[in-house]
Amino acid sequence: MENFFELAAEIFEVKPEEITMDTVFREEIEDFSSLMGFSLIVMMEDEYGVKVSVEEFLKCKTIGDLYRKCVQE
Amino acid sequence: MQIYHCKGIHIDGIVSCVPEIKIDNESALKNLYGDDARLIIDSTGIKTRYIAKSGTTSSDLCIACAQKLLCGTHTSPEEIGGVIFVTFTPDRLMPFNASLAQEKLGLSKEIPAFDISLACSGYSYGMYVASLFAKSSGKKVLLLDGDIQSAYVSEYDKSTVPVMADAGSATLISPSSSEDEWVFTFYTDGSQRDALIIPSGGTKSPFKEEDLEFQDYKENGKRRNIDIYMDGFSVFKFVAMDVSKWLMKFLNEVGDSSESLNAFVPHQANMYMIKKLAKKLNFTWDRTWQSGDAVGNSASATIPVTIALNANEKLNKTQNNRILMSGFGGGLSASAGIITLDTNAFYQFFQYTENDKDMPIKEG
Repeated sequence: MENFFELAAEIFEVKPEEITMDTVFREEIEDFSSLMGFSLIVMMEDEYGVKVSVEEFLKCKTIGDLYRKCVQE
Repeated sequence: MQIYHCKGIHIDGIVSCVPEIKIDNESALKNLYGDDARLIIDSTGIKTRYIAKSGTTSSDLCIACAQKLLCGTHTSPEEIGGVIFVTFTPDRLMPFNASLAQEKLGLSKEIPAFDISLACSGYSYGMYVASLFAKSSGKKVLLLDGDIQSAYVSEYDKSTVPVMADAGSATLISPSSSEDEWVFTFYTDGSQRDALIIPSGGTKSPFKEEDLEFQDYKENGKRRNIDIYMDGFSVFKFVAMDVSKWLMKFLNEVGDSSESLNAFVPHQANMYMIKKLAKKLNFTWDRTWQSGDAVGNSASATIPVTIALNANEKLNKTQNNRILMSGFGGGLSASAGIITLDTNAFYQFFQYTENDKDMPIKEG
């Protein structure tokens, strides 16, 4: 989980301690962009082997939603 | 991985230009994105772009560059033993652009003159092919690379408008006694050819009247079948996953790394993507040459544009400068080369105006 937070924080350009499972990233991350979104999807496939489509990604609201995709599937 | 080696080649100069119209991206994107325009610019990093006036062509830009290049390198047209034109937006479907260059630049009739139809991956291909011709003929070869993408960009398309631009370039490659070895490698994934595509106009789907009508693609905006379609996510993923790993493998295979090379000159897709790519390859942002923020993404010409803009200031005067260049895009396709840039070569960047069209070549 720590590793996931580190990777996500790097993409959001924040410190890992600034994000939690409940962070609604599209609203709470300053300057969240679609390119950051693309980076998250690529990170999930690259690091966790989970292929997430753009449509599925758009349904994820919180960082926890993303994390659960990585550990469940 | 197949590596292509080339020795005894020198770049005498690179001249690049942007066309007439400068676009301030923030005000241009207000129509498409409203208040989010600023966010789009902050994320892509592209603040200004240049596009051509209607009727200005890729040959106009590249020939103007070639005229300044021949002049700046004191090269007479008779010394040119070949002209290669990289473009996917030629003046006409037939004949090819290089024939125009042969005539307008007053080059010999007995030279190879041909186009290479590639998008963003084109420059390293052109450089490799030009090097082979220069090496085997013992003559200088002119490599022209430029595109007018704006002619194929829908003004309502949210993926292409924020980044796409036009530019032209000319590179002079000559045989030399240099022992420096250049290496190239190439990558193609044709299964993803729909990720960057102009759907209509080729023999697969000849023009129909309805291709001129704008179709509504909801959150992606509107475009016609004659416009460029870009699946931004697929292209992003291609670069972030395939290209980055392939480039790491290339560096490893040829025994180079960010430490042994002076600079990384990537295709200026957008600043976010190249920043990520540079980081993966361990190049600091300072040693990653940039131009996209100021002039936009002009397809394969972004590499010569970036070199022409940065070389005079950034090349190390006391040593041989070896750089990694890489282009990636439509195909999907990628190419890469490790080449040497000479501090004493001729580098120039300018903005094209109508006065540059068909200027006679003046001996410099």
